Amino acid sequence: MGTAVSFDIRGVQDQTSATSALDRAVRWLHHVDETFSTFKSDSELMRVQRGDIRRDCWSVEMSEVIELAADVEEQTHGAYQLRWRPDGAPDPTGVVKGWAADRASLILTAGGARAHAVNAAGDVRLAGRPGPHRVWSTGIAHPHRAGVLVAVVDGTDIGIASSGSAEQGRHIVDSRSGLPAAGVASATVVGPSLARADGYATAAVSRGADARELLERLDEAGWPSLLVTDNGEVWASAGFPGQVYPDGIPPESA
Amino acid sequence: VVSSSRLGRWLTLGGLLGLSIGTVMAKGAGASHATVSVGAGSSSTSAPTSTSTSTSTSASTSHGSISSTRPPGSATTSPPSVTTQKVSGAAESFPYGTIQVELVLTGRRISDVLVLQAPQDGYSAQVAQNALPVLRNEVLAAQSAHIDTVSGASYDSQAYASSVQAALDKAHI
Repeated sequence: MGTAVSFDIRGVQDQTSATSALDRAVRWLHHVDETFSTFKSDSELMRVQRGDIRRDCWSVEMSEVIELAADVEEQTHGAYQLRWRPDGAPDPTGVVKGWAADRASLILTAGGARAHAVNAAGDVRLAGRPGPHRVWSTGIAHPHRAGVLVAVVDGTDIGIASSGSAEQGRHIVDSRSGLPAAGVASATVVGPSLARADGYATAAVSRGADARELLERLDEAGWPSLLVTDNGEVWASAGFPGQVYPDGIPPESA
Repeated sequence: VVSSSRLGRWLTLGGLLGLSIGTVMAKGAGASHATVSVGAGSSSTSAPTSTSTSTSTSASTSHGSISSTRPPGSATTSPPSVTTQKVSGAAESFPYGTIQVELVLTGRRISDVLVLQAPQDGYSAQVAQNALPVLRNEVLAAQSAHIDTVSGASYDSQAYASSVQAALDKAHI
């Protein structure tokens, strides 16, 4: 699905090489979109879903993303579902965005643009330092109050993914009941891979009222999180690395 | 203390599906200018109606063009401004339609982003709608000297869709 990705690059020494790295990162995103678009009937993913391509003929990217999604399904005991479709075809779209941003970040770093934030429609990949003596400060948007933050996470070389029950028009389904998930307004997961954080956040939303149990287990595995329920309760896992503002805080006061 | 070698806030929305947006916000660096351009294809980035000049570059790729802009080297010497101003990006055509956005600046702070023109047919409108929450997140981040970026689910995407429509309605009156 079409989305927008922002790049914030700091501390550039060589503008020519940074611009060239940025161009490569953006070309990469276009390539990912060509491969995984569910809007383009001739994209590789659409052909895979129709059974037009044998598994041993998948591209390296397709194999990597589907393997990753299958592992996220295993780690979440099926809360994240790779094959939720009635026809049983794989749908890795829940991790593609984070995976693409992870790779875009590596492209920037390799090109000398080491301090950057890649924001893929609300899923954030951070690298390097935005300034001397500081790391990146990422606000977590309050799902019930527009223009207000519910937490601030300071850190770098991490991914921060947030999912809600109505992400870009496709409702996340509770894999146990097959019904649209309810109970979680927003789940945010922090960890070393944005792709996995993205999948885990989606899994938490699909668990609805039972999300906390899953998130406690993920926290122990090194994936801390923040949960805002439909009725406005705010819960952070034991290892959540940020300042939480249950009542919300305007960004200029943070 | 802001290092003078810092580029300021160099923000490019490299959208998927042929939509790219380049903005520069010299955040906290003493400058009060911003450039917004939205487009792809062979369109050029035009200078904004802003209190200082900007340079811009445009790079073509096989999938369209990426517009990226950066502040002039003397950004820190630009006169500060405390007034509210609106900075319009050029209306630019890309394969799916024409899009134009506008930033509202209050002094050095970006207080809002508006869509002046956007495609209205299903697929292109979807792309534009998906881009808006990203811009809104950036606006949120730009309101604080301490927040660099914002993570958030597009939970209220319907509200954003409505705001796009409102902006569209306004633009067509």
